[in-house]
Amino acid sequence: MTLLTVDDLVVEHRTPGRPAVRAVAGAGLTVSSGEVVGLVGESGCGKSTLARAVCGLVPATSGNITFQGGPVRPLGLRRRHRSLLGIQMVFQDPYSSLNPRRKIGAQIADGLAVAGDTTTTPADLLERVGLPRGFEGRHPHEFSGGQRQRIAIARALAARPALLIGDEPISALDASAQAKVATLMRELAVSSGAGLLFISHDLSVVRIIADRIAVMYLGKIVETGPTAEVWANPRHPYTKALLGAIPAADGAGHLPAELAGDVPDPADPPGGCRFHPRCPVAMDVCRAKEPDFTPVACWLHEPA
Amino acid sequence: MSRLSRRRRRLPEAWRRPLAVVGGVIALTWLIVAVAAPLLAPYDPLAQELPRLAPPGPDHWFGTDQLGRDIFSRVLYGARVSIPLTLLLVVLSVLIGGLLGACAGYFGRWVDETVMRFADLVFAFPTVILAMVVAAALGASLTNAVLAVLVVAWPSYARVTRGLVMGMREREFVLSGRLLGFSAWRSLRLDVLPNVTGPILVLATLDIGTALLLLSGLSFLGLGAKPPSPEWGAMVSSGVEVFDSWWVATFPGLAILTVVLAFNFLGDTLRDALDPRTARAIKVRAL
Ligand SMILES: Nc1ncnc2c1ncn2[C@@H]1O[C@H](COP(=O)(O)OP(=O)(O)O)[C@@H](O)[C@H]1O
Ligand SMILES: [Mg+2]
Repeated sequence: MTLLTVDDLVVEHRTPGRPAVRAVAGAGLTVSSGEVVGLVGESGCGKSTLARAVCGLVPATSGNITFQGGPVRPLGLRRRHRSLLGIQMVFQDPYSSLNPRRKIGAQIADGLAVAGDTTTTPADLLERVGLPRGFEGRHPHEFSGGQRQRIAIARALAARPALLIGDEPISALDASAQAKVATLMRELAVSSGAGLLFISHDLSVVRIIADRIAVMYLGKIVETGPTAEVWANPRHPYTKALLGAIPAADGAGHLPAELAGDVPDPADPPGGCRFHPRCPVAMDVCRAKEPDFTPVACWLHEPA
Repeated sequence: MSRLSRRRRRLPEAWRRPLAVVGGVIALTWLIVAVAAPLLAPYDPLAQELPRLAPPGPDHWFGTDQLGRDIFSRVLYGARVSIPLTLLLVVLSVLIGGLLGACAGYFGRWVDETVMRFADLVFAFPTVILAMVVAAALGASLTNAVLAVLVVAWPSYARVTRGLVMGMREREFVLSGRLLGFSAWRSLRLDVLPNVTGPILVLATLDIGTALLLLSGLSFLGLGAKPPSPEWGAMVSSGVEVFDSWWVATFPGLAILTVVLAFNFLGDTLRDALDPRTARAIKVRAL
C-alpha cells in the first residue's frame, strides 16, 4: 500500500536579497508501508529539504505531497494536524536532537502521548532501542552521540508513526555505531509495519538496509529501483559515479576526483540535463532538453 | 583528598578569579546589610538629634549630615531601600522584556513587528534622558522612578530574548516537539525558554548595577525618593548642598559605587562562563 507519494515537488528557500534557491526541483518519490527507501545523493542536493517538506517543516512551492491519501499541509504556528502525526523524523545532529534540559524519559513520553499509548513505558522503548531500562531519569548530556540517536529513534517510534524519516541519522556517528543504528532503525520500522525513508550520502549503509534506492541529484530524483538491481546494474551516469566512488568515500558527502567538478549552485542550475556539465557521456540533447522521465532520468534510458 | 579541595576543584575556572570573588563578597555583604540594618545601625536613620555636620570620628564613623543624622546608619538603612527595589526592577524587566521578546521571536510576523517597534522607540532615545522624562511625567516618587527605569530597561531583554529564541526555534529538538504535536505555547514553554534562561540571567546580573545607578540617579535629580528617606541617590544630592562637608555625599556615593562594581564583576564572570556565541549575543545592551 502506498503510504507517501511525492509528486513533482518543488521547494524553494527564499532569503531576502538573494536569488531563491530551488533546493528541490521537481522530485517524485513513493514509500509504501513496510518498505525501506534509501534516498542518496551528495550533500547540498536537497535531501534534507525534501524530508522537511514531507514533514511539513518547509512549505512546498509547487507539487503534491500525499500521506495516507491526504495532502501534507505545512506546519505553521498551530498544532500539527492529527492526520500528520503519523510522520515522524529523526534528525542528523545527535547533539541538537534532544532537549538538553529535559529528562529523556519525559521526551520519550511525549511520543507515547501522541499514540495514546498508556501501557508502554519509556523504559520499554529504551530497551527496544538497545539501551538499559532505568536511564529515563537521565539528561541527554550523559549519553554519547550514538546513544542519543537511539533515544531520538525511541521518541519517534513511541508515536507509532506510519512513516519514519531518518535525515542522515547516522552520518555524525563513528563508524562502529553507524551500521548498528541503521539496522536498528530498519528493524524497528519494518517490524511495526511502518515505511522508512532513510536519507544518507553513504551508499554502503543504504545498500544494507534499503529495499529500494532513490538517487537524488541537484533537486531531482535521477534514478530509482530495487537496491539489488541498482547496485548490480546502475544506469544513470551519476549513479554509476556514486557507486564507483564507494571504496574511497570520504564520509563528507563529496565525490572523489573521478567525477569532475562540484555540485552546481542550485540557485542557478545548468540548462538541459542538470548533470550534463559533469557527465562523461553527455550528448547534444543533454545540453538542450531536460530528461523528465522515470525510473532513470537520462537520455540514454529514454522509455520507448 | 579532603572534601573541601575536591569541591574547590569542581568550581568553574571563571569563579576562581579574584574579581569574581571580590564581587561575590561585596554583593553578599550588602545583602546581609539590607536584611540586618536595624541590628547593625548604631542610630535611628531619621532622628535629627546629633551635632550637625560632625566629621567622621569614633562616635560617627561616616560623620553626620546637616540635620544631625548619623550617616553610617543612613547608609546601612539605604541598602534596604535601594537593593530590594533594584532587584524588583530587574526581575520585572526580565519578565516583561523576556516574555515580549520570546513571543516576538517565536511567533514572528505582527507580534514581532509590534514588540520590536516599541523596543526601537525606546532605544531611539538616550536612556538617562528618557528615564528622566518618564519620571518627571509620572510625578516625582520612588515608585514612579522604578516605573521609569522599567520603561527604559525592558527593551534590551526583549531584544536579546528574541534573538536567542529565533535561534532556538530552528533547533532540531524543538522541531521534533512540533512534529509530535506540541502547540506553539507548549513548545515555547518546554523546549525554547528553558534553553535561553542562562544568558538572560547573566544579562540581568550585569544590569543590577546599571539599574541601581539609574534609580539613584533619578533620586539625585529629585525625581525619585523624597528627603527624609535614606535613599543613597537622594543622600548624595543633599550632600552636594554642603560641599565643604565632603563626607555627607561621599559615603552614600561609595555605597552606590560598590554595589554597581560588585554586580558588574559577577555578571562578567557569569558571562565568561557561558559559551562564546551566547556571550556575544548578550553583549549588545542598551542600558
Ligand atoms: N534554510 C535555507 N535557506 C537557504 N538555502 C537553504 C536552506 N536550507 C538549505 N538550503 C540550500 O538548499 C540546498 C539543498 O540543501 P539540503 O536540502 O540541506 O541538502 P542535503 O540535505 O542534500 O545536503 C543547498 O544548496 C542549501 O544551501
Ligand atoms: Mg542534509
